[in-house]
Amino acid sequence: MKKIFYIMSVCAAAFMAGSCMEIDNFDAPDQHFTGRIIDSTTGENILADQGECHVRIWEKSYSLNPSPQDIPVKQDGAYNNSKLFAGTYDVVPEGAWWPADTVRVGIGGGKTVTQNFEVTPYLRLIDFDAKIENDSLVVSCRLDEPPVVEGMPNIMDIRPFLSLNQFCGAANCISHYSTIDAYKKNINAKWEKVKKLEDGKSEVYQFKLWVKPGYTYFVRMGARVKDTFQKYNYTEIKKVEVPAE
Amino acid sequence: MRKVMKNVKYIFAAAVLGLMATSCNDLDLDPKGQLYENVLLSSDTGVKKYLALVYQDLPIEDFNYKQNGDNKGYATVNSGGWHSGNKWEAQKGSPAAAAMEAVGRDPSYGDSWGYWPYDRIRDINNMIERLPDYRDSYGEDKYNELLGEAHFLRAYYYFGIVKRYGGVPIVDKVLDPTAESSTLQLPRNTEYECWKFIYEDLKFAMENATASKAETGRANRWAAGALMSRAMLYAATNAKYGQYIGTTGEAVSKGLMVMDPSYAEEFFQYSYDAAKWLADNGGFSLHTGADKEKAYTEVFIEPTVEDIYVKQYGPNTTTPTNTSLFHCWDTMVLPLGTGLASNVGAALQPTWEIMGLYEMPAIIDENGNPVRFNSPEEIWNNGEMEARCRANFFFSGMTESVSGEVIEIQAGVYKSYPGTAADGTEETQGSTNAYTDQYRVRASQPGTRQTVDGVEVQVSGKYGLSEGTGDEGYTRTGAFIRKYVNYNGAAADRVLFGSTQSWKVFRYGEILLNWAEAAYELGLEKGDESLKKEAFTYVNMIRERAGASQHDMVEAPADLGTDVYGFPIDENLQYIRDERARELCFENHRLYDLRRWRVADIMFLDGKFAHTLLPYYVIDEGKWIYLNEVEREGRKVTFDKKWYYEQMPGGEISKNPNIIRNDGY
Repeated sequence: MKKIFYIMSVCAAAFMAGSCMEIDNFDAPDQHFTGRIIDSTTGENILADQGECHVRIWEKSYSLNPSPQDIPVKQDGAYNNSKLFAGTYDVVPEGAWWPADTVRVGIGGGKTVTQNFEVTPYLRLIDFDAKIENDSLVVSCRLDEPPVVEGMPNIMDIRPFLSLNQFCGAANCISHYSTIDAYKKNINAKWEKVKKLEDGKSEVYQFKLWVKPGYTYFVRMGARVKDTFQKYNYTEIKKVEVPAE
Repeated sequence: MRKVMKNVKYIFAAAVLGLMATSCNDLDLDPKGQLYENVLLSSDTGVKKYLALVYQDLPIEDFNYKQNGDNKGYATVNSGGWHSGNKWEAQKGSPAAAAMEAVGRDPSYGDSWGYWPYDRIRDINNMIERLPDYRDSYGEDKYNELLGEAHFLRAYYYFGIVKRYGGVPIVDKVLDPTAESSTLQLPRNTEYECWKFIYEDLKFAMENATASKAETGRANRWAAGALMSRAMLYAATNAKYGQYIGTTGEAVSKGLMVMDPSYAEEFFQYSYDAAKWLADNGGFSLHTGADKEKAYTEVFIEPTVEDIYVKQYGPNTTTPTNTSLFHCWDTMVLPLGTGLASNVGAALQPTWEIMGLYEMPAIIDENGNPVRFNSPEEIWNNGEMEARCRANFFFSGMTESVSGEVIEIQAGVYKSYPGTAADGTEETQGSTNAYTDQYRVRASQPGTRQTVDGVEVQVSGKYGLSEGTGDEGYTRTGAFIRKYVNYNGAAADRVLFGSTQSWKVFRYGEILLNWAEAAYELGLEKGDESLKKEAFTYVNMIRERAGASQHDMVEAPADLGTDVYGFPIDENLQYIRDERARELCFENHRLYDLRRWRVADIMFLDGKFAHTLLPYYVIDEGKWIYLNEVEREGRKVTFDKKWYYEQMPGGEISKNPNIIRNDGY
């Protein structure tokens, strides 16, 4: 019986060792692809939240109908992936902007490939203000006339986002505020139907939020339209220090 | 030991020799005991055998349909060639929970399990192609009836996939697996073409399948008409409301998902015509009786004039295992208790979102205060609640007939209730706030008596609420599901796999509601007031049987949709939709209805809490109140917009690069 055990162990060891013999001769992915998402109305990088929007890529040299991969867009509006296989890729940025054209990019040769995209955001948020009144945080903003009105999907909602670190937006916020209906304005209408002031821009959207004394908040507001992705366009981020009691 | 080893050696050697010797025999023989096409397709009995698996796998969202968690899918979903059945957990992942009709464990649409039943479609295509070879075996009528049956079955499978994905490849002939793979890699047809294909198949089935209702569980032309009325309504609303989901991309631009709204009228007309055809020719009617509550429960348990197509089950002691032809409804919806559920218990419980749609006494007065009742029974026995509501739910104090048990439900006590209903129903998990902390007392176990403020009182009902017994077994929402509970069954059958009551796949009640919706929508499309009015005659037939008051069409209906969803839904249409919710609750329609109306993403935007109908005893007044608290587990119902069209199964894309993915993912 013992012998059988030995024989079996030797067999098993040989079997396991055999699996080490295969040599993986494919290089690890090491190609670098990067770029910026530029807001065509300002020429600056788009105001984004860390990881909310993405650049979608398809490796066309690998398959006729490949699965997409997503490279997240960072808060500064740039994207970056330094671990891609060399190949031919179809690339398109997807997020809170009008659909952009897909471009074909060859990635390889060890050089960093940079591809910037100029996109038109659906909405522009203006006159953003955040201040402490008594024990509450009062935030407000307005919607500028959209860069393109023709054919724009319904505007869904507008709401504030609060965070305790410098990353702030729908993907990085204190979830408590998004569970309460009072901290959100549902619009669900076309731009033409949105209430406006005399200058043709929207009414003021204002929210009064309960905040903790002695804390530092990072605050911004966002609004989105009912397109494919339903991602937010943002204001800049304001840092607000709530005085201790 | 050595002796034994030696013996073993000999035996082994003999066995090996024997094995090698047999291989010399010619293996190329037809195995005995197998049936071939010449037997299967040449008689009605043979065809029944041939179609057995096709029927078993039919995409019916029945008692065993689970849309989330382990073993999701139709109970007989084919996983790697095996039919993994016996889904005792089906109610935990019921679509009712994702539509907020009930609370279960999976409150979000989770249907993406890669449904792709082209194996069964191939079986049907084979039958349609080969049956002409055996034409002589049948009389003309029988031959056409079998072809009609096959077309109904094929349409049912395509309905199952098209409602999930939109356009899919239409395969209507037997493909040769040895053909060059490029000829097998069929692209997706457009969503419109797919619905039209279903229409053509059903039209054929309605004309050719048997008119006889003698064989329960087997499809006839009436079943085909019923599916026509349902499927064409799905197609029509997909076309009319698809434009509002706002998704763009390659699949949309090629028509593989989202249809042009101009197709809506055509499909509404098909649905309308099918319902009218059934009404004029089928001889079906609503089941009713002097005792409307009793009659309504009979609809789901007895064979009635309302049945159009029924799926039957058997006792698990005699039905082959892994067939899913038995289920656990009773023990999954009743509470744990003697004569009630023996296992699990109350895995699926009704929400206020559905209960609140029925006629019943107001529980909040005009000042926002909870109405005081002398007993919890007053909510259902003071004559204000419609019969259908009593037949669909067990409320506190009702008696369950098989066990003879009084379903005693009490959520807790309030020492005093000075506030408004809103004070005690904060939108937080379990509605807990400073007010409830001050006044509310609940128990951790069911059936608890304890001293509160120096008075000994009953704090929790025998069947709930209890805070320390997990999410199942006892009520969390203040009621239990009564619909489909078998009042003819024995208490001993209220165990896992013990239930045998049939599933009413199509009943005339649904057809009237399909008809009403199609008629009203057609009226809107054509600007025809008489069609709109006609819709309400069908709604009122349903309401009459339900023991509810009659409802007239509003002449100048308000627009309830634009402010909420961004597109118009008028008051009358909303009423027809709500009637559908009331009549068809827990029949696994609601999730697909909310989905085809394209309202689910906004309805459950950011996740929404389900609410309850919880009875409390107010100690200082000696009265009872009902509160719509947030359900204690606080599971939020969510619906992502992308779920209007499920993603194409990844495995199929890797086999067939011509399959374009759906957009929005």
